[in-house]
Amino acid sequence: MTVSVVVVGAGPAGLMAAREATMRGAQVILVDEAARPGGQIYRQSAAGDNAAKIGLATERTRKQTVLDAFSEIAHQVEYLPGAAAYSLFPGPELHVAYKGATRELRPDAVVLATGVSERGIPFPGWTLPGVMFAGGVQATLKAHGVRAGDRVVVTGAGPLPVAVAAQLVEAGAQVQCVALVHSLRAMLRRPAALWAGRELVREGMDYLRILSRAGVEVLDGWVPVRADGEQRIERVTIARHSGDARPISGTERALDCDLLAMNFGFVANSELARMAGAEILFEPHRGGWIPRADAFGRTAAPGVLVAGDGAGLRGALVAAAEGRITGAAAVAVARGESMDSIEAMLGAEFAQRRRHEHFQQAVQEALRIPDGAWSWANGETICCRCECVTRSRIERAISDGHTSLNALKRNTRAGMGWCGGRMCAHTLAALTAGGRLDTATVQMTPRPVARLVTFAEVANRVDGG
Amino acid sequence: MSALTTDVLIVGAGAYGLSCAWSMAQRDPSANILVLDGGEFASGATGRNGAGFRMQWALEFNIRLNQESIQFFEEAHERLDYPDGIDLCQEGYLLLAHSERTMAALRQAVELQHKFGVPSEILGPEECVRVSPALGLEGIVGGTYCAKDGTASPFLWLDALLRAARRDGVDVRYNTRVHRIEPRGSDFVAITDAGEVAASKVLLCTDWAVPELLAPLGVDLPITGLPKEAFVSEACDPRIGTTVISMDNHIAVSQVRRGSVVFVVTRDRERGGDLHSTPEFLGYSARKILGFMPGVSDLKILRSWAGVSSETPDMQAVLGETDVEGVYAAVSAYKGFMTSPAVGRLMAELVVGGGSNDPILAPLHPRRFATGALVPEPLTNQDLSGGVGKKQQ
Repeated sequence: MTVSVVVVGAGPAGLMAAREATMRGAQVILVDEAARPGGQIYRQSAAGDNAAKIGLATERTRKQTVLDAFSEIAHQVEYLPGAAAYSLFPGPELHVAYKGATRELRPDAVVLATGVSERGIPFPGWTLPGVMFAGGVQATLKAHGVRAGDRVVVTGAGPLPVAVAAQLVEAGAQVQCVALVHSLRAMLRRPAALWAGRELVREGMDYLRILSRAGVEVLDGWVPVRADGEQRIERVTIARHSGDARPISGTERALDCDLLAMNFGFVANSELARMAGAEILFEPHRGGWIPRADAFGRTAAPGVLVAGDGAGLRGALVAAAEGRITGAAAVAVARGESMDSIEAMLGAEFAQRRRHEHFQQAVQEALRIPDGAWSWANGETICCRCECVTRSRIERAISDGHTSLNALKRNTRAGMGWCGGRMCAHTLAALTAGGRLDTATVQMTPRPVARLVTFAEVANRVDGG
Repeated sequence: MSALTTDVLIVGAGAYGLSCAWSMAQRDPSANILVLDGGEFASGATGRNGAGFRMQWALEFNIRLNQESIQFFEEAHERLDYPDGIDLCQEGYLLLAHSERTMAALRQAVELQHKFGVPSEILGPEECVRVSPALGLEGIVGGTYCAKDGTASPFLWLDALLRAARRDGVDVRYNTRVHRIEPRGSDFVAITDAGEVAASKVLLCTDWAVPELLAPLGVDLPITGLPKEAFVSEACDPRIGTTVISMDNHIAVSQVRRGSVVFVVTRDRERGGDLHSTPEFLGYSARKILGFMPGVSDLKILRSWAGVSSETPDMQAVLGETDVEGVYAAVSAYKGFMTSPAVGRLMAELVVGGGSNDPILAPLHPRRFATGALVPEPLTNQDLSGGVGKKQQ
């Protein structure tokens, strides 16, 4: 029996899931937003020449391995690039805008490998042009070979700010400094976990070496205080913090820059899983609202599986291994077969996933943002960028008793804009829980559409798949 | 636990519930008023409606209800002390006819509207397209237009009412469902999530869900929930120009003050309280809308949602005291947001003002269903029993 599997997302998890499902005889459709496969982490040059060599040689090898693995079976997959998977209904029934029309897909199983977006933590001036997410800065480098600024300050937590700063240096930018919330040495608290991810640790050291050679200062224990500028950012003020992410008055340093690249964690792109009725957990340090899944990626929504960072932030190596596991599981789900044989057949993938999940414990030491960060914003700071809702307006609603995210959204409009609350939901959650993230906070009700689509794309229907 | 006691218990904190509460507090500052809502802020029909108001109706009481309400909306920021306002936008309503039958009803309505000073006018097909450039000329028979009609934010309206009502001493509680109402002596006891509430009078403002609370009291009103769906676009240039109601397609299109466009689509669906968006909705709606409004084809859709509106046999509101003395109902029949200011005033007169002689109320009395004195609205776009809306999926 030929079964059909739709994979959403062409990062490492999605590519490997598509490959595994194809090799097991499923008819696979791979849906992705980007023009070329790779996702954010393995993003390819838009021009197709991959001329811009961004990143370390070891990283590029890893990327090529995944891309090659997909290429081998790509001719058997129906690959839809530049597509928007905008609604997922129980069934599963997936609506995808592709080439000006909607494909209504009713596969036997769906694998959501939708990855993460970057998490914003508001501080005064963070909405100025020239303040960008570090991953966004990296994407323009990878896709177009364009560096988003010349005089750059990078801030945030975990390994990404260091990697992006080094990539900017290599692209010719003058990086003023990298201001990290925690020292990367915090990872030393987990020596066994570090060992598990030794190849990634080595890459981290390589990036630090690039920064050191360029004379870029890496400051540990610093947070942003505000960004200033007339039309766009001209200066960022940073300050030391005393362990809780609250800036210590008197330690401020002002740095001139035309680009502030920041990364304060990630938000899982879980809209489709939520829409389909998957059970959702709130784990702020693993990507926020993420679908609960078993070892095979199965969620509470029948026929809907999840893989990679969108199912909990764990990095590209976990994603690739998990993609294969979930791809195999999707075929078994589609055929109504048990999962018994999968663990035996994919022992290496289970082992790789375990090893790198172990490494993530070390990464978490450097990545975890203390709750004090949610007090960076002052009353006038915009917390919902789409609808321009300030912190004081949100706090007024909270003091009126509107303490759920849905009630806050209706009272203040925060979360009603084009991002669907991806950007502000963590902030709202923190403000409702007295400045900290409480794992009991329920996310806003997901509303179709998960991605903006035009009337024409919605009106034109192609039934198939 | 000591039971709560109140003079008036209002069930439901939507536009009707809160407007009635505020009006009652204004009318009788000594009255204890408690509002209980089973959901959160704006989680019911008001928070899901299309944001429009119009005085273009075909019956006297609807024209008057809406004229009074629109005047209140215009003054809301002052009367409710809500300085930022409620996003009022009076750019008119175009009621559009794609059939001779509908056009005849529109023409007749305008005659009546003029008797009450409604500044409505009859437009030919080209004029309709001039008013709303996104429209396609093909198939338009004509329309009527009133510049005083418009939109406001239902969320801001509820927030303004809530804050004003609380300032006036009204106790408004969310997440407190009323499960049952029982007579006790000459008064009532409500069984709620917050325990028992003793009340002298009860006003039911839960719209389509009113029968759930009335049935155990032996009152049977033919009110059902009609699931509806809506969606909103990103903000765009003012190409809609006004609110357009395609009477023959059962679709309302409003460009609200923030620039985004709200589309509300009524289909003949199974009645009930279903709040789920359906898989076929967006495709059905987009095709239907592009059929008469091709100028939105490049517009980006931002979000869709589902709601439920009340439906009565004549599609008119139900306002008044029920057969159980002391229990009142205010049910909107799909006009809750737009008529809420006037309905607040009327129900305050009835419940705490010793009664009302306003002629608006007589035809809308709950007993009309038993006596058969129905007052069907010729200008509803909600009538799915005939015309283009029938049998469409």
